Amino acid sequence: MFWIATTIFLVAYALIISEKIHKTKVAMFGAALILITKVLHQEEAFDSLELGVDWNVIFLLISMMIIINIMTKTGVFQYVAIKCAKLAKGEPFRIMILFAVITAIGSAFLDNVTTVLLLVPVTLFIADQLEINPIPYLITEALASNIGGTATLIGDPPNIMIASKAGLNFMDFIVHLAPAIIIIFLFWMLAWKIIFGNRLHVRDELKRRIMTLEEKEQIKDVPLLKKSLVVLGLTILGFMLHGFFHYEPATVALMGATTLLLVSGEEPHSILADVEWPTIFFFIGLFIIIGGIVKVGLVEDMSRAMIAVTDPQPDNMKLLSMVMLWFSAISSAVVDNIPFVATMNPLIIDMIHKVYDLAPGTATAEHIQHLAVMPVWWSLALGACLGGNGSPIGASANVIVVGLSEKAGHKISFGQFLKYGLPVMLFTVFLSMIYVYVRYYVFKLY
Amino acid sequence: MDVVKCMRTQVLLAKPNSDYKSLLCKITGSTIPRQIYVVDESYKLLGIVTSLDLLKELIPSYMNADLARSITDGADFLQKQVEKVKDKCASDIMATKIKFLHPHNQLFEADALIAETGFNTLPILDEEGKILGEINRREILVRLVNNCTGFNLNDEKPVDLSLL
Repeated sequence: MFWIATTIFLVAYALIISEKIHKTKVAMFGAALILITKVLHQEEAFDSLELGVDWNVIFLLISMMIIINIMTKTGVFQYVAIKCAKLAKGEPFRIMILFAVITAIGSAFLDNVTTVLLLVPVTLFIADQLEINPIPYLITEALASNIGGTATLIGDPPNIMIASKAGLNFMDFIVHLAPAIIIIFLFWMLAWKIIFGNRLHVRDELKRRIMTLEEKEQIKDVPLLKKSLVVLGLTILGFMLHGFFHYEPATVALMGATTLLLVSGEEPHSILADVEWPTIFFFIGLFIIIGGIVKVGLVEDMSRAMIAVTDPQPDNMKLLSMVMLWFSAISSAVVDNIPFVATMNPLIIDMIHKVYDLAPGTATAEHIQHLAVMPVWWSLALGACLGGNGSPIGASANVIVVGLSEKAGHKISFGQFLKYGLPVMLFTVFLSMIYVYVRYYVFKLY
Repeated sequence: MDVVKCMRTQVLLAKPNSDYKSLLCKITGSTIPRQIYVVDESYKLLGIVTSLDLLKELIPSYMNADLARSITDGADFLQKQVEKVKDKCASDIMATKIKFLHPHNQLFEADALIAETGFNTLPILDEEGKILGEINRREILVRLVNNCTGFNLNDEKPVDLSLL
């Protein structure tokens, strides 16, 4: 069984990296093989909290996709983008900064791909109006979406998976990751000011073109916009309070999604059809494959190796945190960060059992959220999310931006993206390392 | 009835290197909806350029109707776009996946293919791919009225709304 599960896992990983076959097909077929070979029984795959599909992650993703699908019909994102371009008075650098800010905020509370899908056309339009090269703007938005998405529990799928596995709530992410992201974002913008501040100039007549744009024309459905904003606001409030009321984040999101579906008047058929089902089934397949390698002991072997290298102690896991941060970042630049985190989550749980000398499956929240362990979870989240900036294939948002840009006649080469993305990835992960080190190991602010 | 008996043999032709301006002039110079057949020296069909293709070339890939509404001076925007695409040639614009008919195909087959694809006009090609003519929705309907129904054609003129 060990070799069957290990082979399925390694072949699936290799195929996902190669992108020769669609990742959803690979994950689903791998999951079917895990079940047909009886590495996992169907009950374990569907019902086991330890080995099976994490339905909290699945329903949180579906619910947020429903909310986003309804909100995109309002045109609010395009309105905000044009409004920002006018607020910047058509100044190219100010527009770049404001677009980065709205992308980061959008990505923190919605999903990265939708945020860039909505903003890229407006960016191309504004760049066309200003007669400037849109590529630096587009890459900035991809990078901003990955950085912004790191700040919250719902911002990026790795965070949703980590939160579910470690039992962390929305406010934990706000308290621990949001400050890091605000600091990182400010330093990044400072660096961008030095690089682009004096390079982006346009004639006054072109700036005036921006000022004549009618942003109000973008709002397609005012009543729907009002309902969407109210429901989104209440859902975010629900996320902030879910720990207090002992609800899982998926419950809050499902409540928000179904409420909006009910009050919006939209047909469920079209809204549900727009849910990214390939992504959802990718997660389901992946959870089953990972459940298989947990059951046969591969994750336990990997955990032993990690302990041997980083020597984590029950009260201090400093080296492990640092290694986790850089390892996650570098891996996520090369591999999709979702399978990476799906593998690392059970590995950390297994390691917790070993470090605290617990019988298998007996770790409680007290151990999983032990003060010494928490920086390891945060390092994993920071590394996995920020690492996505390291290459054009490191994150879904990057792939979307590169594709849309090429379609509009502005090809972004692999090297061109790397020129911007890799230094930003190294810079932001370095800042994260300082943040984790200073916060948790110097000031001990757990 | 074979389509060859009701096809129109006067068609718009262009060479692969015909530029955007000449294509635009050809299509706008025609009083009825037309498409341009891009052919080689031996009149073998290489591709089709429709009025939709010419309009789409003017619209950037990022543009949609909502974004277009935010522009106050659309004429200026279109003029800029024409400047950008004026050097494109027929081979850059034409559609190469072509649905076509052969001369011996029945009128009913033409009707079915038009209903299936949603195209307005279909080319009729010989066995070597040489263009012989075209048939469109209206011609099929006219044949239908003349041959298959007892309806009488009348010459009712369209209403000129500007006179109301």
